[in-house]
Amino acid sequence: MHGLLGGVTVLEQAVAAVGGGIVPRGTREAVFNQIFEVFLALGTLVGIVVIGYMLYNVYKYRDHGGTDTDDGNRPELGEIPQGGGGGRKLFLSFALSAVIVISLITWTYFTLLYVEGGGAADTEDALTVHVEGFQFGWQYTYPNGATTGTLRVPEDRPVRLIVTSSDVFHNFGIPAFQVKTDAIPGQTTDTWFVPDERGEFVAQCYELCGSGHSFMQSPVIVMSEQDWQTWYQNTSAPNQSSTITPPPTITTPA
Amino acid sequence: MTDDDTPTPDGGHATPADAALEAGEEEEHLPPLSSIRRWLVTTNHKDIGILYISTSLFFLVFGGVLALLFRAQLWTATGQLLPAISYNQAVSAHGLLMVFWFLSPIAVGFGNYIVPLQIGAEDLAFPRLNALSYWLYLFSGLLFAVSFFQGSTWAGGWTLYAPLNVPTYLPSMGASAAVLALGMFVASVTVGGVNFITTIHRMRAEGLTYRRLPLFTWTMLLTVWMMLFAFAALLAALVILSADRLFGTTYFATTSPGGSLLWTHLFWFFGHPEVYIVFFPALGVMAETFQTFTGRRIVGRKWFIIAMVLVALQSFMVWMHHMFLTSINLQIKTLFMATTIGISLPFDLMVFALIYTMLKGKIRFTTPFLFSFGALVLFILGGITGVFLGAVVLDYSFRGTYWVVAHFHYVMVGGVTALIGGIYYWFPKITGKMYDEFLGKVNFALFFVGFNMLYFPMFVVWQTPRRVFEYDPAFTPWHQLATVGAFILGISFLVMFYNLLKSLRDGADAPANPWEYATTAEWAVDSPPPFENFPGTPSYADGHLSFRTEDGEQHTPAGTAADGGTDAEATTDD
Repeated sequence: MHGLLGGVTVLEQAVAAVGGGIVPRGTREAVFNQIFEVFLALGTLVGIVVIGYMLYNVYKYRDHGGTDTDDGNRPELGEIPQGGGGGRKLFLSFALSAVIVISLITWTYFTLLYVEGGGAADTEDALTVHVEGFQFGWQYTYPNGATTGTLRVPEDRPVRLIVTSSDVFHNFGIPAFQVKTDAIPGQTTDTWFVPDERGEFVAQCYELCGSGHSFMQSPVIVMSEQDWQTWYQNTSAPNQSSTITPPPTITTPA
Repeated sequence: MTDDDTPTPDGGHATPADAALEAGEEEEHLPPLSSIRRWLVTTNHKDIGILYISTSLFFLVFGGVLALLFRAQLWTATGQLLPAISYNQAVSAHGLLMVFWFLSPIAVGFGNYIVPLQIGAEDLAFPRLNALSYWLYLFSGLLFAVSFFQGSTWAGGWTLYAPLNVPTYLPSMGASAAVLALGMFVASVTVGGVNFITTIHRMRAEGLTYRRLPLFTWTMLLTVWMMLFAFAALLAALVILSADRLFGTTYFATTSPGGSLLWTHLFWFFGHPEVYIVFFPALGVMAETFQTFTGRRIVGRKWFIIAMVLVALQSFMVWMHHMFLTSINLQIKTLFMATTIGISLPFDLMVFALIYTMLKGKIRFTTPFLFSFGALVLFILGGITGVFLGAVVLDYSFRGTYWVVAHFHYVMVGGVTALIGGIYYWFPKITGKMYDEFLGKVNFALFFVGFNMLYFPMFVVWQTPRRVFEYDPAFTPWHQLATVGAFILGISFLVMFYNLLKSLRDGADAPANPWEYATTAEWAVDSPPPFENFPGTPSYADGHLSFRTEDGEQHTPAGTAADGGTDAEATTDD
């Protein structure tokens, strides 16, 4: 694995040298949209070409009763199963498709490295929120120990989420910000997003978790930094014990 | 077929009297086909093939009606047709029934009927085991059906994720019954798999080497090998789960650290090969029908086979791509992204091989070809949308949404499309009657339109989370289109059943080989084939199928050229 990743790092530097603009970076939505659009355009093109070619040939070589186009070299009942010719064309098409697929995926891999490395949330001032899924809702714990059922975050400040579950397997996602991760009991997963738009959004469960799964949503409110600070100063940890009250400043994750 | 009294081109006169007599004696042990007792006691591979196919079609209807129920619920963004827990049961049972009790068994049904005929065997290696495997399958399915009446059936999704799968969260007796039904089904699959493996490896006609095996037989061979290993993992998972559910162990309990992740590993180690287990036989049907109805031998046949073997091996090395959002680390994600792309490439080769087989063909648009051609189109769309999921960054967003639902239905129901082609292709062989070609084409048109109306809108509104019945009201029109498509798809199956039943009663008698350019041995014997399959011992030793009788005479099947074979090397089986 080290060899593989080492090679990839070298490749990444090479790509960066060619031009940093090639690898999509930025918020989760920006990254998703850029890659999705390229895939969609190429996928549509490939689909049209391949299916068009199929339809053209199935029509061209339909049986119209007349002359045989293949010199009568047709399969016969009872012959030993064997292949037909045309291997050259087969391998050319195969090679072409392999090149397209491998380059596309490799291209997105650099974005994966960016995303996994913390992406835009790899900064000192990122807000860390612990998320715990339960049947059927979400609980958010802020750095000061305060817990809420509504996720409130300041606009444009990257948010790191550390997600787990207190009962069954859930999956936490905020579709508006293209962020999603599994909520697994006994395990934590982490992810990040940048709430770059003010307003009210929805967090939702994406893994079947019981009868309330369809309703397992919670509001996500993106506020201005100032409004958020006001709100945050007024929160406090439940069952505050004087000895372990964290300072009301925002801490960065360890 | 009139082999018995027609002199064949090589001058041999076919009078396999001994073989026929023997066959008659064997069959006398069994009641006639019209008797119900026959179907209870039979061990003949053709009978059991028919049992498998009919039973699997019953479960297709079962799973299909459930799908119509929840598609009806999705007509509005806040559907109230089924209560929440019933909705969850409907989606879970739909998935389980379709994947386990319909898709694999219908393929096994074709395998039962066709594989011994294609390789020149009288029956499967262990006929009684074969019967056991069928009855385990039937009873496991019935047990699953009964579970609906035991409080509630399984409501935790077809992936049975932990710890939702333990009694704390799904306490009903029916849920336990569903788990036990699955266990019984695995027993059936394992018994059946061993039987097929032995048969295909040990009972091929002389001269029929692995390279020369018909492609449908190849796909079945790889399918049962994958089954043997993949279902073992599922059985392990189910045994532990049953212990949790019945004996109070806590392997998958919330408090068990890693229990949840353990389940995902065990399940997907089975679950990913399972995708190819259900798809390969469909691929085999496509290969056979493309060859027959284009009148062309498969292009790059050797590479087609190599590609399939590669897929079968690699299928056990991609399972964690279902788990990209769990706590697995970047190195593992990288590895599984690479293997995932790796496994997609052999499929590109197979798709191109099928496409190029059409060139210079003499293509006849019979119902089986239309279904196979349609299946290839759908599979290509499923494949392209699968590449999206191979890009991990995109997968992060697609996880748990209708993109995944749409993608795997294009692939899996695309496979079903080919298997329906298989029903029409082999219907004359199995029943001795021709199906109605016009109704067959109507069936295809309704199926293809219904399919795309049902599944394509799911790509458009992919942001809908899976298995929910409350969704963004903006998506409503697309979900309504999908629901209409679902009912059209359902109607297409009514047309199919009507066609098959009507043809069974009133259809014209089918000749031994109704298809020009069919090559495989099942078309060289009567429709339906005699009890012992062949009029002598089948052999390809002189480069062409012939049947040898005990007195040393041999004859070639009618309609084939005796001078066709020049490749006379008699390669031994192993």
